[in-house]
Amino acid sequence: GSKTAQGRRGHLEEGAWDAIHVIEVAPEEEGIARYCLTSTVMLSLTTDHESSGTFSLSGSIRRQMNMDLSVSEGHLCNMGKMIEEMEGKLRNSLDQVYFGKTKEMVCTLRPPSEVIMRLPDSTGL
Amino acid sequence: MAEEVELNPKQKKEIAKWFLLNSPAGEIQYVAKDLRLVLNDNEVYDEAVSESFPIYNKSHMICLQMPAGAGDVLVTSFGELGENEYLDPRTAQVAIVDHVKQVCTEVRPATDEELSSAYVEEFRSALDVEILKYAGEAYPKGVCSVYCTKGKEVEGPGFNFELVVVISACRLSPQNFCNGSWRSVWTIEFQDEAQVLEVKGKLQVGAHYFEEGNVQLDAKHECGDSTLFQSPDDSAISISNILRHHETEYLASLEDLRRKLPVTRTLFPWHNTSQFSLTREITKELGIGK
Repeated sequence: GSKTAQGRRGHLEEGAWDAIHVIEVAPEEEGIARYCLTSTVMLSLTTDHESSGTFSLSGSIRRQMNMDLSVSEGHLCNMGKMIEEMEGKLRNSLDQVYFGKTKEMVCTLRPPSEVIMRLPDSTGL
Repeated sequence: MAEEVELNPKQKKEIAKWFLLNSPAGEIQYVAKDLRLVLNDNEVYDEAVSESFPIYNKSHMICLQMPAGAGDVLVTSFGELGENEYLDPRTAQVAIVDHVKQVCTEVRPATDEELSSAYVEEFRSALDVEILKYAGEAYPKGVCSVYCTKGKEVEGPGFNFELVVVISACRLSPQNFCNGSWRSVWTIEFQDEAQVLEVKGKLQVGAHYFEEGNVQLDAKHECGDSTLFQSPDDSAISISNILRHHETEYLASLEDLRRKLPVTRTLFPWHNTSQFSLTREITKELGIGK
């Protein structure tokens, strides 16, 4: 799945979400199949706003998920639900990683002024 | 299928250089190590590294320790005196540097021609004192320096000169799969006739997180301001206030950019009747018997 967007309002200039899902299906016991899903999401965000300059955040994340499911409803149903669940998890990971980790890094390089007052004298960090 | 043609040494060198120059902060040595294996050609490798490392080091404004406790020196284009010689204005020393090994091999005192005139030095050192104070507070891992880039021979009022403030901070945590850097370059034009100081800033923040993925941030910002041309001490205080104000504002705007990605609350109804007909359609199309 792939989606690109151009922002008109707000800060986003260009955004792209590309997801690749690879599923391996193998029969297990009677009426049960094993599904092995490997998903990669490539995300790219750029902004170009007068007050904040250029901002470019991009990269990829990969996860795996295995499930044994009944085939009574058919493969499509099982695979669809797995992919949906996986994409939801990836979206949350991306939020934590893309924004969370990079924000953490920026705060470590240069703590916001309120934090500076409270930093202990010892070299903890 | 098209025949595979091996690239010539020059093409290989250009690709290798691209990878080296685009290495995130603190990672060029890892990239170089991998490239050596990939290239499998020492001549091409040596040329690629000897051409890329100096550019990378200056662009990232790396900080090197001078031998025998002589202090730290920043490798920047502003302090470059020769191919491998970098001035540390604070201690009036010149560091001789091995770019590929990223170490300072020797130190010598700077000659008078390499330093600013006494008049300009008053402004430069006053600013250095203020910037050291500011950077010491704002950047836990920051290193800073103030260079005179134009008019270092100016002996008194009546002429313009230019100072550049450099702040470089990096947080390298490869064991946590995380590296980042902050670089500020502020150019201050001391305009004698107008009696003003024109200040221009270029800020750049980078981060690389690579546990179970590969995410890079590259953010740049330019800003400007001006203030009156005053005594060395008063000018220094005005300038450092300007820097502090703009850098703090930029940091705040970076955090504002953390917009939540949209979340859809409704799950797709995989179980409804259309799903069954979809399966039927696909089965029919693929010609699979049941």
